[in-house]
Amino acid sequence: MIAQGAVITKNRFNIILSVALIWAGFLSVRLFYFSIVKREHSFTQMQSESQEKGRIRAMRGRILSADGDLLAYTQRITALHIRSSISSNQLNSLVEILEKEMGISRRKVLVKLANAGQAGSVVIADNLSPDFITRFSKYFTRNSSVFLKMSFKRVYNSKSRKIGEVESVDGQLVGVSGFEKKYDQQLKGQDLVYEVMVDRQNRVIEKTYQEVSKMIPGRDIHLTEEEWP
Amino acid sequence: MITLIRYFKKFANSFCPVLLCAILLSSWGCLAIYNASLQFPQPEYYALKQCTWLVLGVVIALGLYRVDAKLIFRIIPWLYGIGIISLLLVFFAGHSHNHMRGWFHTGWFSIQPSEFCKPVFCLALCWFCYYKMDSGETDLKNYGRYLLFASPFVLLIAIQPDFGTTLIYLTLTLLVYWLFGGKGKYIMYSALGMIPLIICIFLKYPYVWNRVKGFWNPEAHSSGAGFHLIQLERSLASGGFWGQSFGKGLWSQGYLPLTHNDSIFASFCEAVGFVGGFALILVFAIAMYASNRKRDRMKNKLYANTLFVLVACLTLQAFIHISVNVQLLPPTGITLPFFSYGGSSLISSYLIIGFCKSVIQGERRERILLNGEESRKVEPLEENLDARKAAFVEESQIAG
Repeated sequence: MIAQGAVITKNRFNIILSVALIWAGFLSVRLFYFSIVKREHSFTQMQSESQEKGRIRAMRGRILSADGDLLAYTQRITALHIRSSISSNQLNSLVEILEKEMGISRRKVLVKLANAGQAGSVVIADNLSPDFITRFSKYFTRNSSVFLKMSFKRVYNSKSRKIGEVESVDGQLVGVSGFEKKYDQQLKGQDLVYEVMVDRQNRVIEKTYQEVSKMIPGRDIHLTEEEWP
Repeated sequence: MITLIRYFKKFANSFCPVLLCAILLSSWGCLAIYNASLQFPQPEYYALKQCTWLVLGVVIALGLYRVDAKLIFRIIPWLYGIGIISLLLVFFAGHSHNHMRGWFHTGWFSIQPSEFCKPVFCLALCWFCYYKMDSGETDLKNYGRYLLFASPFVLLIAIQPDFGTTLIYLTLTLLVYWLFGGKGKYIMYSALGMIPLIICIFLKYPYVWNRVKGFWNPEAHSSGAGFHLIQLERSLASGGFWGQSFGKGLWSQGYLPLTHNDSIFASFCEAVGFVGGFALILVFAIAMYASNRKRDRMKNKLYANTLFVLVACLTLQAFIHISVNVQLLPPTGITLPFFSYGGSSLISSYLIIGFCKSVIQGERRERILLNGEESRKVEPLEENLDARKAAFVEESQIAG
């Protein structure tokens, strides 16, 4: 065969070439199928699996007397949460920051984490200062085991029952009595609703952010002289 | 001025179209690697490293251009031996990655001997078929000797275990035998003989069987073996016809695993769409067609067949990689030549380009030596075969 003087069968090379060309054809058809034909179907699945809806609560409006005195207002509170699944390296660096910046002891953090168990997250510090948040914002966005959670707290300057009370329903403050209940529609405003895609580590892919509804902050209520002189 | 033009022509001649195409393809690959690494903290890291390998690969290819093909075939037994030793050494001094002992780790970079052995293996097989197959022996005996010659490479890579690369080596073994006139029935028997071996692999390495199961029904194994395949499909869908352009491939950045090596075709298609992916398939198909045309024009059988086998090796690797990415094959871990991240793979591809050019130059030199300038005209393959063979052997004896 194969010995030096043998005749090469030219056909075999042509067969191999044909096989390669047919294979290339198959690849192209398959590529076309996934890129064009099955595209819509894949997109539907992609959206259902990766798209997440988020909501940013609108700040509740203030209640002012006829003289312009502040009777009730909303305060934003930012709390620092740690997931129980945090790695020891990440925890060490975080504890160091908390000890230096906020005077929270290592022991306190470890006890809270131990009590939290395997699942869920634990609040390590609440009411963080804006300065602290600004300085460590990059750290919080890069470290998936640490996150900030924002909530609202209603503060009252008057102890009168006339002003009323609010209750937190699914993260939103709802007036349940007094002026808070009476003017609830004007005070609550409209939340911002957005859609984002998240990756397989559940991190938000920034470029995919889309607003579904815009945020309208709650209106301030100026009580009349009859209501509150 | 004339001297300058002459120098320029010489320089341009050394950068033959094949090398230029390879450089363009690799540059495209570097861009694809950068695009695939955008989700990492240092996106330029892999692309810059690949550029370094690209420069080294081009230098090696240009160096090989100068080496006479005759000399290369003369030192094939040595290269064969070095290849075997490097594959043996990797078991003792090698580094494990993904349960596979296939790399030498040297701080800044790793070397994968099985990649470097690919061009040597192709040359060695062609050399053996041409010089060592005895026409006095029976076909079966010849085939046995041939398998014995090829088996050390195949076995050592299978033991690592790197089944993707083993598949390439096995296919090349059978392909070269057949192209040099081997009997088809022996290839059939060999393929049948491999079935129990494949079953043994499935039993010993359950992850291989899981990959096959995941390939068969990706949706049923969406959180395990099918996950990779589903993400490949979605990356292609995200690309559409024209692609999302570089840097905007959301799916490959968020979900697709191994975007810069095993899944580079899918991540590339998300950026450039069906058009870019089809162009890439076309490049490899044209390379195969061009090598066959060139082989038709070449008179030296050894050189002609070697050229075809070397290009077939690159195309085979590329088509297996693309087949995995378009879900025609289960994941194999085979890289896309010139494109995927990896120094060993890229330099190995440039070694192949260098060897291709070397055999073309060798053929030209021999033609001039035999027939003078007139021989530049195209002649049928079988003409004056005996005369050329005699001259070649005589010349080899003088040189040796």
